[in-house]
Amino acid sequence: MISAYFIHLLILIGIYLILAISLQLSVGFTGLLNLGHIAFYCVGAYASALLALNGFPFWIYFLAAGFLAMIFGFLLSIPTKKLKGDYLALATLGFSFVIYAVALNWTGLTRGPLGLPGIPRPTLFGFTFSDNVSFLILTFIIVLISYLIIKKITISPFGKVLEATRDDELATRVLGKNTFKMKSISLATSAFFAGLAGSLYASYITFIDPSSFTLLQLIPVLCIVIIGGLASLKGTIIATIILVLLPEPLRFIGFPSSIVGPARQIIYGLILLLILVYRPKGFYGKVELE
Amino acid sequence: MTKTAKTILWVVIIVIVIGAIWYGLTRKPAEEVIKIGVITPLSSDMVNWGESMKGGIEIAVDERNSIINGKPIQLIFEDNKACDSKETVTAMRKLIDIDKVKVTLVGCSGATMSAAPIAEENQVILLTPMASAGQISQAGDFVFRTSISDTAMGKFLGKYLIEKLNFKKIAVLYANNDYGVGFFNNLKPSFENSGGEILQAEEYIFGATDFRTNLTKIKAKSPEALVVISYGQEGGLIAKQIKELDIDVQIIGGDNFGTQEVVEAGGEAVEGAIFTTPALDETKPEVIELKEKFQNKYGKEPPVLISVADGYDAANLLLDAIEEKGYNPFGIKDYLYSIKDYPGISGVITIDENGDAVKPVSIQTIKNGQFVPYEE
Amino acid sequence: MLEIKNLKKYFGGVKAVDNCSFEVKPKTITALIGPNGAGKSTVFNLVSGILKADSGKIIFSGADITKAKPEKISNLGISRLFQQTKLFNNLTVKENLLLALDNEDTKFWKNLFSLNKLSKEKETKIKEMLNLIGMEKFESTLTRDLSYGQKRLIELLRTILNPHKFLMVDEPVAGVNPKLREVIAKILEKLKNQGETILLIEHDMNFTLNVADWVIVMEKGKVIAQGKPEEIRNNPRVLEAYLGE
Repeated sequence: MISAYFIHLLILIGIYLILAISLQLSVGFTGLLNLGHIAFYCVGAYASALLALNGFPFWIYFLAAGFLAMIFGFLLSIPTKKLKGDYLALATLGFSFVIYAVALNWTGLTRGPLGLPGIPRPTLFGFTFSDNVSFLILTFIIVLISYLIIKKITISPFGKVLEATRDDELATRVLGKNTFKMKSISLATSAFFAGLAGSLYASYITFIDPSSFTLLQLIPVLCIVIIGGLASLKGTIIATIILVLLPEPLRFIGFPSSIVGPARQIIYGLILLLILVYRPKGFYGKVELE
Repeated sequence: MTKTAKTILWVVIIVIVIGAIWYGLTRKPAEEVIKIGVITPLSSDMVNWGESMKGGIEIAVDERNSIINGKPIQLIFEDNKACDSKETVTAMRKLIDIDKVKVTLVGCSGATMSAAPIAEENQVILLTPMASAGQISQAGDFVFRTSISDTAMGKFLGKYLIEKLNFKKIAVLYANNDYGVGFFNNLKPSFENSGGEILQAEEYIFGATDFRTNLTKIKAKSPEALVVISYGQEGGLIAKQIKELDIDVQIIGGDNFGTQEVVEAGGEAVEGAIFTTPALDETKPEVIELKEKFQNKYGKEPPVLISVADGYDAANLLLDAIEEKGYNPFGIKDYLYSIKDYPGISGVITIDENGDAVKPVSIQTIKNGQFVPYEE
Repeated sequence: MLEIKNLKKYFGGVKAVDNCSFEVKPKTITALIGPNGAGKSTVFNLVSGILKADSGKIIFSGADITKAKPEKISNLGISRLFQQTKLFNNLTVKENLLLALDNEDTKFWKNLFSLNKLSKEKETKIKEMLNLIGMEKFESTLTRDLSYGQKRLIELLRTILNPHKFLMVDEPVAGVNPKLREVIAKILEKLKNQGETILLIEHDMNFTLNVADWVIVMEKGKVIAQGKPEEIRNNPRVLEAYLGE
């Protein structure tokens, strides 16, 4: 009998894996300053939760989460046609704030700070994934499919064009490639998977509220992408496992109750610092950004 | 980074980790220990609430010399940062699965909502002394709450405004978090059903310091009273700005209005304000005593006194239940549902069929910077 | 093949390209020379679509490309080598070259479903080209790890592999050692013999006048002289422009 606690951690790892490898696609491979990833995750979570609560079947609310997030990803890429690359960081940042504000204030739709409780677990072909072991299996199937798709994109010639766009966009255009299209597809795909991750999260915890989707939540995912190494999927996987599991042993160190909160966070931070000291480019990073 | 710096970094980490493990190991081994899990904000901007709740719990345990039925009580604290759902669920799983805890105290509404299904699934007691969202009432059989819910508060105030204070036309200014929104959502129907009219309802961003735009709109409608549903010092700032904008209105505060913070931030402006309170009379000796105990134990004033009192009462209820029924969730559950007129410091508590505490709400006012009962 | 008509590009008060007009005939190597700041690279950037002209026209094979985007211009048949190296430094030599061969790699679905496989022909072509310059061993090296001269060679190769009707080459031998200069000169000769049309910017006079069929001289944004290399070599106006620098 595997511990329920451990299964929970594996599910969290699964959700973070999807978030991290999709962020790696837009940031590490395409060089996009995508700071809106959590907003795509949020859109996916809310879309999925609302549709599920209104009785739609799993495959509809799950895919709708991805598609809705993807549409936003695509829309955010449009202005990059005329404006400089740094614009994207500002736009995605602004988008994050807007989505959070909508989740918090459009109480008619999202119930604002009260959140959405009672989100049903997925049901497929008559089987409901109400126990965590089956949910874990579902999660990992989705993780595997997501990984295979993103891996295929990155090792294919298309992935090379993305990397070329990151390394020198002008040179890429001069070779005849429509880099605007490349960036759009990259951001949209990245957002799609973030939306799927959001759907999984909502279905798992069965309760979501805006506090789970603040900009702060981007930090661990960004850390994973950097510590794993830019443009390295293998590194991303390892970094996800490490960063999700790392705080756990700290729970078992008997810190006196008066300092337990800050103490764990400080140690976690110190260990991350140590990793970066020994591996400034991340575990498997080979990319040097200019 | 230089070699010296790297070495120092390593030494620091190793010393901390070893020191902490040693500390952990020298604590009592788990033969027959009564374990109580506590999940509350121990860091982040919610830390004042978390520490207050924690303080109340620890004081209650101290008073029993950390022993119950001859066995040592072990409190296991987990930090859910800013009431984060993910952190709460992970902590809950760890407490139940690894620490084999059967009784938990959880702080925050969102956190309670995400932990509730796990408590139900594992038949573990979840008692929250610090959560006001109405939906917790339906969260489960094993889920209990000793703080007053927004549903109860909102309903009470809605009626009270008309029946006792005779205010028929009011405005409301409330924070846009689950507390403010929940309170308002219950105040509105209760007030309107009793024949009242809300002339203007303004929502503000939780944590704001400038309410002038909202207040100007409210002033334009000339309400008889302004209900303020705020947190921390916001109530005081709002009162000050009401005076500044020269709005002639009776201030009615929610249950977070009657705090030192508000008096300090509001000064003269909060004189005469009326507010609801879950009967936490700061002039009562046991309340003063609790305040002192907190001061002595932690070397500072309780940041949120009501949370200390709620935590204290919740812990005591749990410990009484364990004393009577043993460390058995089913027995404890029965005990908790049967609680009637328990003289808690935070008020007289009766647990209803939903596991919610029904406490008398009292109305107080501020006179010379002191909280005194309001005479109708 | 390429016609520049009254091209103007001002940067604030600076007249980088000032009413510039010239023509590049097919199957020739035309050199664009002039002192620093004459506007040669600006003309290149205008033709490539990287900069937008203030006025004037650029006609390529009969089509007006004055306002066209860089990728469109490339796909119409203009291939460009830049003065600074613009290789994809986190990719290998082979990957850099493959990117030039065609645009099938920009098709998302085709690539996702593995319908754009690396054909034998492409592999062979790359190997051949690398053999030509003696760099077969560097196929899997990251371009970041190449020496400056090697980088220029690979970049030149990439420019040539990009399907084209017209080559624009900006200072191909600048900063490159004499041995590699020879190699590059040979490559340009070979291209000329294959009937290619090339527009070349280069400061090395000897190199340029040896390899070019036609020379256009610019100074301060204007064309001040044009002609066969021998004519230009002795042109007093040209000497004056260079002495002035």
